[in-house]
Amino acid sequence: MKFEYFIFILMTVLVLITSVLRDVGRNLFYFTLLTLSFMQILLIAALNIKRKRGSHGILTLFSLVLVMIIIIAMFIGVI
Amino acid sequence: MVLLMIEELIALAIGIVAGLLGSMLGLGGGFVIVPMLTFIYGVDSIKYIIFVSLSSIILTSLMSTVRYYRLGLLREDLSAILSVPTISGALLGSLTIRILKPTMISIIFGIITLFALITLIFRKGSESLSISFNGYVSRFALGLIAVAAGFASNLLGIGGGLVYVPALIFIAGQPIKEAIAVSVSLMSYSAIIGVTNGYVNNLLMSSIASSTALGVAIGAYLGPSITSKLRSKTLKTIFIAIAMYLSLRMILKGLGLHVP
Repeated sequence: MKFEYFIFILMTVLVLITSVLRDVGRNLFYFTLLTLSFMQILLIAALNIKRKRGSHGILTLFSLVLVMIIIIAMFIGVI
Repeated sequence: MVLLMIEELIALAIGIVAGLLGSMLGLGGGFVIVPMLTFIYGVDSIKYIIFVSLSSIILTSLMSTVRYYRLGLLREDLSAILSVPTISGALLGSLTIRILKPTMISIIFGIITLFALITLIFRKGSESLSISFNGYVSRFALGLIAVAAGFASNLLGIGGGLVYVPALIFIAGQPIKEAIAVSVSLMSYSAIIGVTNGYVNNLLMSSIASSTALGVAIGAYLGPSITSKLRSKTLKTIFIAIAMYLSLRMILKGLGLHVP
């Protein structure tokens, strides 16, 4: 299946869930976006490593860790 | 329930228009989504609207990154280098949006959009204007620009392409398509920080955001095939005229003036 079609189906399901079940939908929508963005960052890291640019791959993983730290800090109310 | 469904259908339609225009004009969805939703919901809701826009940017960024990777245009090394300054800028933007009043954000957004539209009108073959800096100066300048892009993204709900693309062309000497590819790959770093900010502060309207995001994804997918059949110059003129009206309206509303 094409990647775009997967996204369309995923988003359509989310639209239906968020319009019926507000709170569950809100959480599901946020964690889906979180997963998708982490997937994208991991994709860039993997591509860097695949093309033998190890330092850039590690830098991308460092960025991922940085994003995670910021997100956790926001959740616990530090920032 | 019916009213809620209508709201979501409107959001879906706005998302499709944003996706179509974004793919046609090379602008991110934020420049369409924020003024249009502000027109419907009012300036006071601008913080909610910014998080709707950032949600759709995550999806646009992912889909475009995959597409540019398939086309062999993605420079992952540049994306890695610029990720850390982008995250720093995004964090600053997230902290700033909490303290600014909606009217102030509306005025800033209106001014930035007007600037973007003016550059769109006068945009010409920019690759010939490439400036070559030496290594450290160019990296430092690029880093500062990435901080600015991350900041603008989280403060105004835009992708940041307006800032990244010229910088990558003029400073890093990248061809325009590679510059756009790097730019879209960086958007998700700042957008996810922004969306989290909205989520933890209860400002994320998930039903509107998911509908808009779906619309943007559909619009961006169908965009190239539809716009090739349309007279893009006419569409561009119409879009610029509407966007100028909307951005001027946002500035005037922000200043507390009555505008139709």
